Amino acid sequence: MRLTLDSGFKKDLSNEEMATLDAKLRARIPELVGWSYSPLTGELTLDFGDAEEKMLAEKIEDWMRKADCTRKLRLEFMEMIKLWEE
Amino acid sequence: MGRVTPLLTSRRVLNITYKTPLETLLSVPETLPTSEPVTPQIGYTVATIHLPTFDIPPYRKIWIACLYGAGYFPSAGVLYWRMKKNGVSVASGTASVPAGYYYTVNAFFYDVAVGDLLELALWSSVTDSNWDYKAYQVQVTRVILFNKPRLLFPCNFAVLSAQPFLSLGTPHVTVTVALYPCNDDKALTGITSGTVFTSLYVGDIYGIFRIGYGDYSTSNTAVVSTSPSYRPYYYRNYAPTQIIMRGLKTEGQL
Repeated sequence: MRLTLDSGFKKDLSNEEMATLDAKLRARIPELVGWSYSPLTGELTLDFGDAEEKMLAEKIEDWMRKADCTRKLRLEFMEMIKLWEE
Repeated sequence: MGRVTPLLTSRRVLNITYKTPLETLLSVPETLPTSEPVTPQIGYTVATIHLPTFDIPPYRKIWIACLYGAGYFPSAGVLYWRMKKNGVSVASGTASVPAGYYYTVNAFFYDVAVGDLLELALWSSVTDSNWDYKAYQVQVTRVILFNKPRLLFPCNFAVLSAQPFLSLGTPHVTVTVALYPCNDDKALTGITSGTVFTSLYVGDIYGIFRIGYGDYSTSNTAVVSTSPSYRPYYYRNYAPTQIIMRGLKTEGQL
């Protein structure tokens, strides 16, 4: 899962500024896997890896089994729709 | 009364051919520095021979470049990366890499041109990490086949192919993301196989389609994937290789 935010600033980060930002983000958000920043747009993208997605996928498989169904068709989540195709 | 000109253009078949990606696997991995290198380890200059080719020259197209860098962390650490275009930083970031894991930086440059120097700098928080793999391929997005007519009737994304196909190292695909056809500058649901649209209006901004990584997502930035077994462990696109269409003429258009 990746979350893109508007940092409110657009500046090129030096090596030292990257290290400072990295330490600050990891201290505040321990589950953070990585991040990227664009000086062109000011966008800061937080990368949480695929742990949540794998957990949700396992839950979906579990729910399908418990419902005695054979195939996943559609997931609606926060107004996003995922379709499983054969 | 008879119609003077036909309503529909002739059937146009646009074939797009992608070049084999440039790949290098170092025989001896290079240790990553613990501060940003003055000269990035990985760099490619965009040349005409790298560009996809068309059998019908499009009215408009935008090139994106997929650049990959990969290596290994014996000890857990943080990988730092920076993407540069013609010496100017376009994005930077970090990624945690567990001990004994490979990493792959999947960097996508939007709107590149022949002569552009694209670079990827890598450094690390630990002293024993390295890099030994790099690759590069140019793809295309936001194609407009002809300026007029803009109403396609139909538009058949007849053949898609997964691009790039990487072969050196221990390659494995993380994800192949969908292609996003566009109608009147709005992206439609992504497609992963041949799909026919009864009609599409080709807008000025997005054209017929947006490629997944490099335009619709991860444009001028990178995402890092890690794996205990694979490098490159890479992100790639479903890219169109054949689009069949007719244009619907309106009054006065050729």
